[in-house]
Amino acid sequence: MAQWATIIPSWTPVAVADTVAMTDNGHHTIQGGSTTQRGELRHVHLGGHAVASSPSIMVLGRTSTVGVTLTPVRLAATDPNTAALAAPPVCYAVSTAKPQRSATLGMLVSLAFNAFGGNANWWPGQGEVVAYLGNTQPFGELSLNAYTGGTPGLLTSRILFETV
Amino acid sequence: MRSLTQHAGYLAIDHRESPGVTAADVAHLPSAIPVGAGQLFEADTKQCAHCQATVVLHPGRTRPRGYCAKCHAYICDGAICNAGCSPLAARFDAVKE
Repeated sequence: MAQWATIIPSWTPVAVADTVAMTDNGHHTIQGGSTTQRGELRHVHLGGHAVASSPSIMVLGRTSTVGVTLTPVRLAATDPNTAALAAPPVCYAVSTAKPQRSATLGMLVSLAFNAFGGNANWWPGQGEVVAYLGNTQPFGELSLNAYTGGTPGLLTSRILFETV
Repeated sequence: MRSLTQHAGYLAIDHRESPGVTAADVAHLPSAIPVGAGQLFEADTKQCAHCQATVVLHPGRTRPRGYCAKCHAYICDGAICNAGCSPLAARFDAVKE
């Protein structure tokens, strides 16, 4: 069981509309490590750290434009026995070419919450998956980002997923 | 015999120590759930059989929920998913080929 955890401990989402380039350090995105790699989400956690009321309209979904030239963020296997992947997935928030949320598949999980004292958690059901496949659109990325509106605040994000 | 709610997922939005999110904050995003100040929202979730979007089995929902008889599964409120049966699993297979 090759489960991986990617965490960005402190960041402030930047709200964007569909098919608009995201902002560096304003999203948390997973891209497949190869054209055939598949990963399934197991848990998404958002913990608010804002110091004032911050309604954050967070969504998780696919991108219609994938990021290019990525700067990886934290990613670690949860089990010490997990074998290193030849082409590990890349979790990132900074890239030269920015990802864009898909207008049709960009909202698979809605996690709107207030980052001032709030938190949100989602676990998929057994056998029900939100997965990425490959490293190109339309299925190669899953991105946690803020939709337009609200006042996104400082938060922690953790995404647990499994490469299969 | 598989039921529609079997093996559901779980969504929790905790605003017990937070001013929460109002209906006005999320009015522009129909899938978002306004959880108010001091509230803990918990609900089962299922997945749209056609697009993998999360369908929250909100206990307060009154209008009919989308359902595909071919997939025997809930589907989301999206117009494309309700237009006909097009499972995402079939699209995944097409990409792999």
